[in-house]
Amino acid sequence: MKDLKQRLVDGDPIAHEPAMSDADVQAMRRAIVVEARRQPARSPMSSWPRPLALAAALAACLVLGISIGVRISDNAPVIVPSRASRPASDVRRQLQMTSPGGTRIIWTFHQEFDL
Amino acid sequence: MKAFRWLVTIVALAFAASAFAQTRPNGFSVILLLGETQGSGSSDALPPAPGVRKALNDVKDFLPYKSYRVVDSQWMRSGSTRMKGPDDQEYEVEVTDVDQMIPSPMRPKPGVLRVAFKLQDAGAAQNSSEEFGRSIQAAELEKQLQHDRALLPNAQGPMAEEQKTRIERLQKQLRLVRAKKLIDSQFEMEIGETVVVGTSKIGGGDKGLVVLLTSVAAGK
Repeated sequence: MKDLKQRLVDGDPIAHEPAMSDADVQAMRRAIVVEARRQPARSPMSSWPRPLALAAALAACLVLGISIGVRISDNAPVIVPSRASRPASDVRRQLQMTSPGGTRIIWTFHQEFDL
Repeated sequence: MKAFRWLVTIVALAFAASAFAQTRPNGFSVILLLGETQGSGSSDALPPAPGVRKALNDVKDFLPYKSYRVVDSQWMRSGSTRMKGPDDQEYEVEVTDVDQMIPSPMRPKPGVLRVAFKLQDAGAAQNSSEEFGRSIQAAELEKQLQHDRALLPNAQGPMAEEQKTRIERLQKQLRLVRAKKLIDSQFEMEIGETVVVGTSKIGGGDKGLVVLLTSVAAGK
């Protein structure tokens, strides 16, 4: 009685096919060699600049992050008028305006201001 | 390959030049004025620099004050200093050229500075929790002050003198405890430009502190 493995081996169509002729094998080899030669050679640029490009991208991100951080610093009242977060006893408001003569005025109002 | 190396060299040189330019410190002229709605004080004590006078003339129509009195003026590099205010009050002034502190290739424009300006009472609280603690302390001192003031009319002779001294001492303590940050602002200014920075009570009040801040190029 044949077991399953034997049945599969017997039923494999490739096992009964004749082998490739020598000419076919050589033709296939030639086609592969020709295609391989057609590919452009790897330039040195493609190998070494990868880490450099990565480092440059990281540096650019860092510079961008610092610049944005500096511009949007908590201390920088960029919204006009702005209301700083202070204890209820000292409410602050800041206004920025420009006079017709071009002079800029940056004014801070305090709820409790005493001179 | 060669072009890439050239590009890297040029970028590196540009960064180096930018960093070198940013290391040259700029100077600042700080003029502290007291603006008052009463009186007829003039601004004759102002330095003769036309830019400063023009700036003050420009803003006079915007501000509610009739008179402006120069109380102190200083030249400074980036950093902090103390300035005298009215009634011998002392203020801490800090001017920072932000791009000099943190060199960045993303400067606003050539000849434009990013300036952080701070003005506070001498000894002001440095953070919110300290401010909160001081507000409680101020409330206690105010209670004591009211109590002592109420007792003053009944005091006689040496007792009255002692009571007055005590009130004065409490007032001084209260002023110290109430010391606070008055101006904390960041803005861009051109070299040679005068920016008017000021503070007053909400609604105007009858007095205000006005600062004429002028940036001066390095080496001038």
